[in-house]
Amino acid sequence: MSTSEEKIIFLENKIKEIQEMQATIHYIVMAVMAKNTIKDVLWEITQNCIHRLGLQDCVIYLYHDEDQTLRQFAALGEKKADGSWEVVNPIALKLGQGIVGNVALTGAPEIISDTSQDDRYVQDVEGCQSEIAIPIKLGDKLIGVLDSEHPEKNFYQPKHLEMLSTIASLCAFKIDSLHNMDKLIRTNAQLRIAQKVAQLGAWEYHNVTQRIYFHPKVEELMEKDQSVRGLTFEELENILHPGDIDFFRSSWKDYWDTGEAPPGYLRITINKQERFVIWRVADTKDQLLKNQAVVTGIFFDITEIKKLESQKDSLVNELSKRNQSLSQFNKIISHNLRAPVANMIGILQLLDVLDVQSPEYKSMQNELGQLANGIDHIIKDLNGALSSTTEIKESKQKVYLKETLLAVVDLLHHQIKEVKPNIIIHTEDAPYAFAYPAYVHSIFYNLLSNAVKYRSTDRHLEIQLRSEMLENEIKIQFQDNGKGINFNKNKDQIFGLYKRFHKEIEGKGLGLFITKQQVEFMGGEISVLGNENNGLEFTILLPKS
Amino acid sequence: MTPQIIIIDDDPVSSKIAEISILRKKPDVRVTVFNNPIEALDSITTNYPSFSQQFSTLLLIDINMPEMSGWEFIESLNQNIPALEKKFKGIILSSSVDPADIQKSKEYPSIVHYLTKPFTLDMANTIDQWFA
Repeated sequence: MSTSEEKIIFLENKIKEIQEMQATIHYIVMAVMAKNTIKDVLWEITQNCIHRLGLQDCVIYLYHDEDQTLRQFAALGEKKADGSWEVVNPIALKLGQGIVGNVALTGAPEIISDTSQDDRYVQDVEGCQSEIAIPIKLGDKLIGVLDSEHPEKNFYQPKHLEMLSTIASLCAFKIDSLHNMDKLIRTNAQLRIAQKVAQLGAWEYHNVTQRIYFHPKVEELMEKDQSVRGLTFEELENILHPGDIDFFRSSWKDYWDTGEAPPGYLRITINKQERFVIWRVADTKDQLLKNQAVVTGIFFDITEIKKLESQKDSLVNELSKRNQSLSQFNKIISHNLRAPVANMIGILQLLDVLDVQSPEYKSMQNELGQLANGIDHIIKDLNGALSSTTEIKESKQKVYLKETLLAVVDLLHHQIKEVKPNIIIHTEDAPYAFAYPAYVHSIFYNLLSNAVKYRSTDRHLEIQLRSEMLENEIKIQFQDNGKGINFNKNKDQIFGLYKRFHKEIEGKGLGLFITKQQVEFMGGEISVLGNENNGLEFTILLPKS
Repeated sequence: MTPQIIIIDDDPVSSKIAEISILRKKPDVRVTVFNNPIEALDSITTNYPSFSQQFSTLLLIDINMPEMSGWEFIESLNQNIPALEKKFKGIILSSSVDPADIQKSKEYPSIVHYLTKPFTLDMANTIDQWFA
């Protein structure tokens, strides 16, 4: 007997019910949106389902793709221990197992009016006779299942399905965004650690502000207005090495023209220090970066690596030079010391068989004495010349040329006291060289003792030392008026190992060989000019620094 | 043919030792000494047509010489005298014990042996095996 009054009451109730549903949904949406962790969101939902929807039990399962298992995560009602935020004895269901597992598999919600009639039913809470299960999905992606059970049969109505479906959608959306946020935070943290470990920096160019922002913030190290973050192009180009500006501009242009730019080196002066940086623009072929209003890339400070590299290079260089010296020393010993020793052995053998009265015997005996003296000279020479070569502990420093030559003159005063050479020194233009003091001393020693040894018998010995500053080098000239050398025959051999050009003098040729080694060791060059009977002029070029 | 040995060595002592040793053991050998390889080159190049008629020739060549190395000497002689190895044999006589020098001597077909100084009486005793 449905009267119109009853109909009105029914409709009014219906409207009231819908309004209540709306209010409930609204309340839940607001409450859930305010939560920031997945745990808070899920507990909020279960709590509200119980209190606001008048359910006795509410459980949310989360789906784990790794093992295709649904696990109870949040619950209210029988499943919740008082005061704790943990589920008591959480159930885990495989995909397709129980009603929850089936709903997850099919993606369609289900109301089971009588659980005793459904053989899929897996008991969770004792004494329940009806169940509702709603999949929580975002598009095709399964996130979990919202599930509720009730002691009465036929408890769940379409309105429950409708409301819980709405809540499940909300839940899916919120969980997904929290997942992404979590992932982003983790990725970001990993990126920061990786950047720090690898000393990588990142930069971003924003179209709107037309500035480049750096991480770590290089602008804090610069003399600029610190209240404005980031650098304009002009500010960046101001700290770029002028030789790198073209590359920087062309790579920027390439980026806009083609969507990618070649990586390259930039020299950037920050805090009065020039730094080597690898500069790389992320290319827009990377899908994630398409349609962004920013350009992004990385920079990699390799200043320290470069420094170490150049230290390593110079160490290798020095070692190989020393090795070369050692091998030359080996040659001196094996070739030039061996020759007179071999002669002595040869003579001793002949003295055994030759007639003591013969002229050969006398001459060989005489030679033997000279050879012994010659060997002694070589050993003394080696000792003097190489003692300075082997021990280079100090670094290059200012070596005053005039003072060094005068010290050598003093050292050689026994040899030159009878010769009394006229020594002229003009080093005002370049009074010092940047060199190893022991080497310069040894070089002057060899040049001066050669000049004395090979002086001309026709004229008084005159020696000139001059120095001059060139653009990158210092030029040192050492000139004598001695016998000179016939250059047509001997030009390339004057600095060679153990060459003698004046056989009547006990020369060993060792001095000039070692001089050349020492000049080259300091990164310089030595050359010689002159004619026979006209003296020699040695020119040494040493790098300024 | 008379055996002949030409010594090319800038060191007068070393060449004298070789000369005395050879003459002592093999008095029939004609020994000529050049202390300057350039003079030796000129002389041998000029005289080789008559040499090859009268003498069986062996060269004793030093390596380290200021005017010209032993290697340069052999190469120049090779250029001056066609098919040198058929006319003269050469032996290196050097104070060098460097394996690189010994190896290098094997690259020259006219060089048949490598002797390390000093030249000994024993070497003089067996020198005839190298005459062609």
